[in-house]
Amino acid sequence: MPTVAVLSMKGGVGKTTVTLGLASAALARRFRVLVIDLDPQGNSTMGLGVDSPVFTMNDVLADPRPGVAADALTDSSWDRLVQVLAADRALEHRNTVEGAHSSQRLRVALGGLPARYDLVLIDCPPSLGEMTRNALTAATSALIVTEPSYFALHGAEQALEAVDVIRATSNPALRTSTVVVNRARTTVADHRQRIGELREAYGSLVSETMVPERNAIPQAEGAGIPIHAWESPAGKELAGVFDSLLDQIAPALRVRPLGWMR
Amino acid sequence: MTHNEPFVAPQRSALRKAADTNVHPSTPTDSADLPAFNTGNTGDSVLRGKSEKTVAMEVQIPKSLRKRLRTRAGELDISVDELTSRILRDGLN
Ligand SMILES: Nc1ncnc2c1ncn2[C@@H]1O[C@H](COP(=O)(O)OP(=O)(O)OP(=O)(O)O)[C@@H](O)[C@H]1O
Ligand SMILES: [Mg+2]
Repeated sequence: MPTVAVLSMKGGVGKTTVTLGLASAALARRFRVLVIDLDPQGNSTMGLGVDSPVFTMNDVLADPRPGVAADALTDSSWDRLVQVLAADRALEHRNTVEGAHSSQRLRVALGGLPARYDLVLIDCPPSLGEMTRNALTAATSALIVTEPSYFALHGAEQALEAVDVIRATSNPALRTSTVVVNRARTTVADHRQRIGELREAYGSLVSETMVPERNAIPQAEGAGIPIHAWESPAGKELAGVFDSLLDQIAPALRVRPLGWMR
Repeated sequence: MTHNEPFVAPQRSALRKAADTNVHPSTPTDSADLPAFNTGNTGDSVLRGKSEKTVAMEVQIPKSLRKRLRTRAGELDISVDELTSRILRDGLN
């Protein structure tokens, strides 16, 4: 099953937003989704309406037994098809090298779990440290989120390098990455210039699909509901954006939307 | 392929809460790494803790304070550098 690590070195560029948007798009097509929150901030956990989970990724990664993550599965409040491996503040304790196969901890803990879902999304913290290494080692592909700003683009470059390192070491099966630009405003000259630079450097890795800046995003996140259920023109526009992005990163899930909201 | 059945996790041996669940991630761990005052421990192994590098630092302190430092270090049978490190570490923790 596609297991997508959503990462960026820079904070606040939209990793969680893209993770939740893709989960929403997959749910709209009635696919089974697992969201793994590897960020101690727990924003994906909150966005999926999960409050005080019994077990979190801190417990999972502290236990070396293969497949132990299955015990920590939590239902989201979105729909029974979307489940979560939640994060809490204590997950910060695991964000360090532990044991000889430190970057394999997530992969071992998941065991055969990803095969039970149609899509697995891993929301990474804003660093290329141990949690992100674990995510990339367990993933089949990487999705790098950036903004059209100088610093964010620099962070995207670092993230692409991190993917290359993991592919050369702990996960040779890691496929080509996709770079998605968030908060893109093509009417702004500076944004156009930055996006042009990104395309020049990374060509087809840069997705044609860009996420526009819309208030519906923080509103839906705050309400703990999927963007596909946000009834507004912006909600519909964003639903289309994440549908396209899902088509690109998980072509196997390209099926006729059943329109669960209709 | 679409699925409408709920996912049911299989029964397996239970996961337990991690021991550090309620430890705030900002809790300093370096103070716990070092023995407290007057443990009878002597020598620079204490000063350097877990093979931490040492650096030289020049500070201006009252002459009388330096005298007291030297006397106390002599009593504890440790170097003035080590005693100063311990006092500073405790003061900063
Ligand atoms: N396209 C957008 N339009 C409007 N608001 C957005 C957009 N993308 C993200 N935001 C808002 O910006 C904030 C940061 O986004 P998000 O949490 O997705 O970033 P992140 O990369 O996951 O951050 P962190 O590095 O802290 O995990 C959130 O409040 C989110 O709602
Ligand atoms: Mg986030």
